[in-house]
Amino acid sequence: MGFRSYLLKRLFYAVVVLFVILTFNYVLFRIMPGDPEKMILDPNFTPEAKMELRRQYGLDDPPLTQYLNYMKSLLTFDLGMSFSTRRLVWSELRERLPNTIVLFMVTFVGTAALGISLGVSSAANRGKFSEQLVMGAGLFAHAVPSFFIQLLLLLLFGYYWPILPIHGTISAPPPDGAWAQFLDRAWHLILPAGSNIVIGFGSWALYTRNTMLEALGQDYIVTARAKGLPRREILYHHSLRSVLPPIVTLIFMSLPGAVSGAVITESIFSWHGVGRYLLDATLQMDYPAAQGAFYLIALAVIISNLLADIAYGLVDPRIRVGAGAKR
Amino acid sequence: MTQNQRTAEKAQVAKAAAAAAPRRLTFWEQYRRKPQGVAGLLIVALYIAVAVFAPVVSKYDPMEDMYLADNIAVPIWLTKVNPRYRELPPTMQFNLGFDSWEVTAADGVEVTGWEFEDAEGISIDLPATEAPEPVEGEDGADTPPDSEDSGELFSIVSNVQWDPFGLVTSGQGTSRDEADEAVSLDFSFDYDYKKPQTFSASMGYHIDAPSDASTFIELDLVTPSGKAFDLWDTTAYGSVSNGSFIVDARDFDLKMRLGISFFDEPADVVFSERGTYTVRVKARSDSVSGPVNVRIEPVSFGVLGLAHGLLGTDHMGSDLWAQLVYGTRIALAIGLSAAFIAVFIGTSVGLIAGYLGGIVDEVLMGVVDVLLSIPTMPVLIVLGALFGKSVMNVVILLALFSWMGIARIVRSQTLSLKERTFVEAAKAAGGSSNYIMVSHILPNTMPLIFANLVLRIPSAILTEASLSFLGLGDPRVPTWGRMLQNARQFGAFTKMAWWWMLPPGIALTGLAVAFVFIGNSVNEILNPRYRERS
Amino acid sequence: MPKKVRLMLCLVLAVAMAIGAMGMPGAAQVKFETYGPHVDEIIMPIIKDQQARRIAFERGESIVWAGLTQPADIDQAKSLPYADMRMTLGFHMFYVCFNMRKAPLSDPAFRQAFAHIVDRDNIIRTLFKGYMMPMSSFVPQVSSFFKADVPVYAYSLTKAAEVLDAAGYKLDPATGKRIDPKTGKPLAEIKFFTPTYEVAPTSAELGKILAESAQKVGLPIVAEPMDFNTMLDKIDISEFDMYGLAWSLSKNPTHLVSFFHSNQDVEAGYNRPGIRNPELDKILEQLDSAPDLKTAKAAADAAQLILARELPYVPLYSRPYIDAFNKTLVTGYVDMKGFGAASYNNQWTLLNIRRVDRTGKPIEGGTIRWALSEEPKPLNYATASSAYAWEVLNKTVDSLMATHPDTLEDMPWLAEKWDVGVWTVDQGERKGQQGTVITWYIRKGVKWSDGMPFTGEDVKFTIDFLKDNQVPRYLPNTENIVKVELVDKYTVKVYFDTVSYWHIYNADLAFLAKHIWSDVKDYKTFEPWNEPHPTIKGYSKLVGTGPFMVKEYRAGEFVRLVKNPNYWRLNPSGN
Repeated sequence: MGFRSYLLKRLFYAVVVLFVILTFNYVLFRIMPGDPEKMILDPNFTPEAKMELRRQYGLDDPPLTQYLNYMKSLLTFDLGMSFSTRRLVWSELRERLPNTIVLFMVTFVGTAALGISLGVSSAANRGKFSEQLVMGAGLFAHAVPSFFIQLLLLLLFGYYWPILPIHGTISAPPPDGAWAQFLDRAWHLILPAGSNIVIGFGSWALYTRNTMLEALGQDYIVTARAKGLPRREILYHHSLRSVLPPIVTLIFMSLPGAVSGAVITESIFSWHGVGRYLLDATLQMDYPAAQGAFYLIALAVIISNLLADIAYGLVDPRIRVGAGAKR
Repeated sequence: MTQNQRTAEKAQVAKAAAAAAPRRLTFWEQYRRKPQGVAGLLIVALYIAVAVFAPVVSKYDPMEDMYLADNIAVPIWLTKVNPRYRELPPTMQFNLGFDSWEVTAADGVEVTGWEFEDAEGISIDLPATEAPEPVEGEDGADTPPDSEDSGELFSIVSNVQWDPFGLVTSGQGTSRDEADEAVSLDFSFDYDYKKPQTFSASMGYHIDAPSDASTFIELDLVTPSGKAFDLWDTTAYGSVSNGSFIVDARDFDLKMRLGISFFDEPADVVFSERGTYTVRVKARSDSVSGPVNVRIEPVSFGVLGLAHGLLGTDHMGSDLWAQLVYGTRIALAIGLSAAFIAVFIGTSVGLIAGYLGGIVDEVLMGVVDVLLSIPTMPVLIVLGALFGKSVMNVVILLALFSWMGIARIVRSQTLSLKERTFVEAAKAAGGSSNYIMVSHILPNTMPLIFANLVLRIPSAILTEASLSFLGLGDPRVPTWGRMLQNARQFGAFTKMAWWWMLPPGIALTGLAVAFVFIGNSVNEILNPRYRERS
Repeated sequence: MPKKVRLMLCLVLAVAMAIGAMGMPGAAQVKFETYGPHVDEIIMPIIKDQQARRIAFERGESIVWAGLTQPADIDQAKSLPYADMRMTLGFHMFYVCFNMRKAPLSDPAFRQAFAHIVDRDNIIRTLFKGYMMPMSSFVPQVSSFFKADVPVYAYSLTKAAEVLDAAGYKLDPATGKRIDPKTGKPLAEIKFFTPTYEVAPTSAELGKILAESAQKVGLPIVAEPMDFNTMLDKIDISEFDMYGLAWSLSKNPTHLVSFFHSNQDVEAGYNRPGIRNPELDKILEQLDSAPDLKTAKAAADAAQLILARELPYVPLYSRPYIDAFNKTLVTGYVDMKGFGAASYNNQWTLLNIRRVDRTGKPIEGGTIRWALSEEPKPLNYATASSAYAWEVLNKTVDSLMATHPDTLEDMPWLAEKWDVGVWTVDQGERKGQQGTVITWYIRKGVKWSDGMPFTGEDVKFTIDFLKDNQVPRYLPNTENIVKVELVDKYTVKVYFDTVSYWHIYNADLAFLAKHIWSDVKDYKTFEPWNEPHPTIKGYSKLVGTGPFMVKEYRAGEFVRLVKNPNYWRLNPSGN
């Protein structure tokens, strides 16, 4: 199987996944108990007003028509109108997306940078403090509930020692001037992104360390070492290069996890983002909004998975040269 | 080199190794040498013990027992340690039967004990009054009502219960001179704490009297400095059966009675001193036609504590230690059952896909791929909101979205196992697919499955906690996630109630760490490759 | 032993005085004035997280914390030395509804017995820590239509048992249940629907408490928490025995007509108990079509008497408005009966609130921070339905009539005066019948926030726009309007096809500026706060006549309102 057919297969999977998620999404939100009209109604509404609303939201069409309309509209990003804000769901999402992306990127870059560098250094210095730290942080990442750490940080820096902002992405109102506004944003990022990094870097470090150690045990490294190459060169030149592919994959693969984390982080720090929107909409039974947010998140995950597959295909020689690609 | 040759060679090497080694260590012997693993086991054992003996470890029910103390009471031990919380009152509850009272009675009044359920009430016999004068200062509202009203279906008893603003009786400090009382019952108790927030008194009473008699009963609280606060009183006409009342510091009518605002605390007025307080019940009657008998059920008087138990109370006055202890049960149940279901599904799918191969494999692995691409948390949020928030649903959902990793691992293990000689031999001997899968391949994947099972448990527990924390958990089940959610929602932060927030988080972390320890140790023993790495 | 019973009169005439006289000491209060505003800017930070809201008030990041409902919030706010807590009675009502179409709920004695088992004090104390007002009337106590001297049913299990015994529901000693006198068998289980613990924990808990209380007297009532939407569906088709839910009522008693007139006893109608009482119907019709307040008051009184006897509902409690102000930073807020000191319906606080300096003296100008707990979207007068959107929008609009904060009487505001008259309907289904005509005499000199004059044309435009587009939110307002006539630039006549004094409230709306809205193609997707004003730079299309205007709205972060420079009540002279 060559790279092309591998790619086609991954693409096919992505499309199937998308279809499954869309259908799942549709079915889910139709089997919710009760009638969606309930939540848009006011006790003052007359039966005529109710009818009008049903018509406006297309709740009177037969299910199949609704399904086809739904598929068509989702693919064109027409996500309908939110019950609670009476606005286009897409406008709502577009407004929140930048915040989520900023938080994600900062968290991600911070976590990856800290995690990978610590992982490499602990692989190089076995038995030293950095290794202990990495082992501890890895355990921490696996065993401590993230929301608990975030709550404690919030309590500590938001209330007990009130030096950091505890809600929102900017001050209300923000200061004047581009530079001041940038700093203001950064200031608001400290707690949410910082807490995510503290929680997350451990698993990256552990993974990097383990992959490095495995690479260091490989024949060619042993050979290089036997040849008397400097330790640093072996470490950074040879072994780091060999562990890059799995790390690249990990980068993309970590996105679904990051999405889950985003819901919690955004909810704790009142971050105006997509994850919190999904949670709010779900709890308020705002179907179009919840559906739209879910769709967007699923789409992001599918695309990142596809990218991970492609990256994996590009860096994995077995696929590149057309060997069997059973995963 | 063919597959067979390779296996044969490997088998030979293994045989040689076995012969060379003095004796292969059993799994347990290896495990015992891992300090992490042993620590993990001990911790889990502790949790299990707590879960099993929860009713012994905690004497309260985590949800049913409400208002054991005031809301957000501090732990008792903290009052000894931290000066900020020193001298906070514990919960005090007095059930005052006949023996508890010190009786002061006017001439001709007889006060005796009266059997009431398992305690002894007070029976007061008041003689008929001599002067048939109407009560001074009482207007028409207090005269016996027209009898024609009694035929109405919607009429009510002459009870001042329904009077939100305390206007009808408005008995603010209007108690008569002591001399006027026919009988006065006193109960004194020492109160040497900071002032409480909530106190309450309740009492049931019965009056047997001629129809033209009016009977007056009053409940006072007398402070150490001698100020008497009239918490409740009533004037009843004729007989009353099953009269009762409750006064509580949270009631607006008590606040009105004390002349304080909606947001003030009656305890600030009534309980601002230290020393000996007296609960006083007074009664008298104006009855010309005959004697009056007043029977008073044991009076209950209580102060809700601001300090309680090992971990204090939550916003509804429920015991936090009980919630923590019972939370162990739920955490273990959720973790174990979700992990078992996930491992069961994952193993079955992996076995079938790996062993049968071909189109079955393609389809099953396709399903695995699809499910792996679905972001779990959002799905759980949406599904959780949809299917109701019962613990059972959460377990099933958790399991349904976490078996895929195991399926992959089992599949690849099966792929390599099915080429082995013993499987080939079994096939040659005519074993059915089911038989081979269950008796030959499954046992050989067991170590792997076990390690995965142990590692799935903490992740299931943590995911459930996150869902509970987001408000998607079952509100009637005291999970640790819910405790944290409640702490956040109901003001633990602004009260700095760390004893509410830290324990569930630490309990969660401890359990998860223990399982990770066990999982790592098991992995190290069973998967030598893993051993080399760490 | 004769049973001594009497009709208790609930003396509530003094309630308002009592609450006022409790004297809640605040900062140096200023005199209530009908002009203003006195602050330059209101920043409304959007803080969705409850705990962050508490911390924000404590950190001074919000100065006004409006609409506290949770005991934890109230306790925290009042523990702060600088917090001034205000409480005013509201129009909220939590009630238990009986399905009167079914036996034994059709029996008044049964319903009265149930009314006796309700221990409001206990419910309020344990579920709400006392921060709730008991309610037993069908019209909120603050309304001027509230009738005080109607029978009430005090909590008494003994009394409940007596009422049941008298009506023939004897206790079966074997099962502990009551026997239905009609069938001779024990009463069948009666289900009491409440929302689930997840949605409304207090309502669910309340269901449990009431059921336990009922079981003590042998009534087989069981609480059944249920998904909210499913519950509403079942209620719509009358498939229920009993349920508990809340209404948000208004100062007018017209809700009695929709809740208890037999013509609303249809599927999805508002007469959920299914009460059909010809005498009541007649009175409610009088109430609905009352030509003046006096007739309305008489009809409302009569209706309340019948309802207290018939008991289609058992009202339980009413949530008061509780607001917290940081009194070291602001003063001048006005308690408005029924609406709260900081609710969005209280325009008086908006006009009078002002900053104080360090010594506690009121000053002019400055900024007030007023926390919002949800996204105030959409800021569109035609489509906004959430209370949060109106919390912002109401600061930018004035209406034709204002409501007096103490008496709740209508006061001339944008309209200098109005007439309510009768005409003969000249078109439509009700042609030839009598209808109401309301004449508004609009005040001259009122301007929109962009400086354009507010005239009768805007009034006519708004009503026509809402009617022509069938804007759902305003259908109840516009459904009886036949036509709007502009007599001159400042006189507007609104014609209704039925006679009712209440129509004046249907004709007083949040008005849309004709010069902005006449260009709007699709009102549903119109986002006035996002679109630049056609002529004035820096302004949006969100134009109103109120004391403030929206200067900036950052979704998810904050709303910044500034003083409307063209406001017509900036000073006492009114210009």
